[in-house]
Amino acid sequence: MTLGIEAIAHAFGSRRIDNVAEGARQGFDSGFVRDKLGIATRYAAAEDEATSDLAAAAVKAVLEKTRTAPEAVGGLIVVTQTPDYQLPHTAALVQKKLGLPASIASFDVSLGCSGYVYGLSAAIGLMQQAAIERAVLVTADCYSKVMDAADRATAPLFSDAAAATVLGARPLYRAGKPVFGTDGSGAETLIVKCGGSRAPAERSMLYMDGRAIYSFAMSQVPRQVEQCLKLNGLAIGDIDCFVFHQANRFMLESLRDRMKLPADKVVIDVADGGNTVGSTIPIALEPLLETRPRRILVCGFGVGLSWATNVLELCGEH
Amino acid sequence: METDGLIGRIAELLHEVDEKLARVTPAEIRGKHVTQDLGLDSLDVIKFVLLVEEKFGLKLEDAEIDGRELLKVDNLARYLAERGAS
Repeated sequence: MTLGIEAIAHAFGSRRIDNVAEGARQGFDSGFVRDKLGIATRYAAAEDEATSDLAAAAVKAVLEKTRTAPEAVGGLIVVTQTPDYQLPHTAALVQKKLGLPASIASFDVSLGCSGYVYGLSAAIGLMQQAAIERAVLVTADCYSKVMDAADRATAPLFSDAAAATVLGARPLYRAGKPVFGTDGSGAETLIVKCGGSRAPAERSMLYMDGRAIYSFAMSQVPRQVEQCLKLNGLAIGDIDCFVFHQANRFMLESLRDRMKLPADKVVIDVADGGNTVGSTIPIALEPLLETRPRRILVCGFGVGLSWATNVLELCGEH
Repeated sequence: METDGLIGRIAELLHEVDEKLARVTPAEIRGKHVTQDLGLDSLDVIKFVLLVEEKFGLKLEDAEIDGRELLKVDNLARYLAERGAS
């Protein structure tokens, strides 16, 4: 049985932010925000909105889109690093909100921008091992809850969002062989230091060393793309569409130029929403499920440091 | 210390960083600061520093960039010369 991606839907935080106007208040040039970062609009969760709310909204939307009854969902994986609570896991909260069956296999995966590519492998592996016919992979984060809105390194980049992907036996796309990577020596370059067992009583916000993250992406991503293509017996010319983690326009153009990729094959989908952490790849994939390029390379990279790449191939009957 | 050649190589890196600087000459960048005088923004600087690291095979720490004012072209050229770059 071939398992893969059947449908995707997403939900943003309910507070819409004009990023150019907000950036101007923080001293950013409008051209820098609109053209260089490429992010015109961001979204933040409302005060009473949390990660499980966005996750549930995205799952509800994708179940409606695919006319899937809640009781038909056998697996639910939520990829997040901004859960509602330290415990229990956010997937349990989503199960309750949507009335998903008590027999469901559900758990969280703690990953950020590489999480969707990891999550695909985790979910499909689970489905195969446990004979689950239909599962939902959710990426969901509310960085606004852990960000300092005045921090110029992070404030103009991130949005709160969730994306839900139905995985099943009638896929539009099946995943190829993945390549993964981890470098914990870069853990402190993108970090929220409080809330865990190391410093439970401290209050600190998201810190990002933008230069270190850029340098990491420029060195690791091209190498891993090459490894993944080789592993799947493909060349760059065999890929119709490259969907990298949508960090910002500058990062994507730098990757594109460094790998000498054709501009029309590299998706840049940051204007509405910016960097939604683990959700950028599925949000960028969502319209591609309509246009259906034959092969899509997906590559996530970020917090960890962690990175993961795979190739999605359009299934024969489509 | 001879830094003319290095300033030429720094000019070549600036050509890659910002298309507005695609034709800038070594003479035009001498004595200039890459943000204050040449107009690089914070993202351009990130790209510029990575290119310097890659082309000259060294690692620039933030403290060093700030402390030695390495965003001034002449300071950067002198720094690179001290480290044996040519």
